Amino acid sequence: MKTQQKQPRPEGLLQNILTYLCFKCQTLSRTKLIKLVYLVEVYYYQLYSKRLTEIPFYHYYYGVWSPQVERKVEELYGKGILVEREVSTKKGFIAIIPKPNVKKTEVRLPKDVFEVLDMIVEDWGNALPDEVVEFTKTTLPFINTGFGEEIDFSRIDGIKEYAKEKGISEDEAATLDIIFNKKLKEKVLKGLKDIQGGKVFSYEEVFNM
Amino acid sequence: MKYEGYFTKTFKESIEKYPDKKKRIKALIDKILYNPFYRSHRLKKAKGIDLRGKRSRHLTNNFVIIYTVCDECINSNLQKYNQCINCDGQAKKRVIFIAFGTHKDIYTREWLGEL
Repeated sequence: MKTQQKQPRPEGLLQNILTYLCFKCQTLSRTKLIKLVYLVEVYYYQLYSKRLTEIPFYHYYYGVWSPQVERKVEELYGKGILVEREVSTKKGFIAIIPKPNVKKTEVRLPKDVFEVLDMIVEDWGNALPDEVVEFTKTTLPFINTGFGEEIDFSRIDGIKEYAKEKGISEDEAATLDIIFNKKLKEKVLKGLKDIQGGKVFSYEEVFNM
Repeated sequence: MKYEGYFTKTFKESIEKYPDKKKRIKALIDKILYNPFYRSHRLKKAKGIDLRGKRSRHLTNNFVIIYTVCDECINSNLQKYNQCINCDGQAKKRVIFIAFGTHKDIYTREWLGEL
């Protein structure tokens, strides 16, 4: 009698995150995948002031590095959930990218995690790996962590950090954040003239409802 | 939503520059309309620019939104800093979104030597 082999499916938060990113991102190398998982943490922390996973990330030579994420990617390949696929790059090179070998419906994550992942895909899905690497190097948790040390996500708020460093209140730091940005300052002053002149639109008018 | 949202022409024009992100901006606006005081900063006067009566909130990917909360403006007597033409002195549950921008925060810009 023929026995039907059970199809593997991603287990746990990290495996599901990795699989979903592989489904959604067009240009994805292993390096980019690790950086994207870090950005998922950054976005999640910005939105909810807490970590999504407890995976340690480190400030390393080429930006953020996580041996645990690397191991998990290997595990997904080992289980056959991810497979390597050759694709031609715009420059005519052959690149090997990870592709999921499971149905999309097998990815199971909470709604808030899907929302954050979709933001990451929207912002970085089509970006080149180098662009993602460079961006991760400008994120505050990376900047605020010494080389070789574990990334401290609690130092993610630029306004808070600036206020602490300058010995001013967070409200003052937020004010300077706008004033020291010429374009934004002009926009605020222009917007203020709009409300003084009655140039105001409703929610429905702005979002075409 | 607990608050009603209104948008300046400047705000509307700014978000129209990001048509692919409109859905996401709308979701963020909805969060502010639910609680405009949560994780926002009350702006001050500094370097000769008076931003009193307004709040800013930073969101993911360097988005920043500047807005005024109608009931806070009235209850804290801040009308003179906003001078809304449509203000009738009633503390309404309204948020007027003044400006929207994408920029790196001040700490990051200073660290990168961009200030």
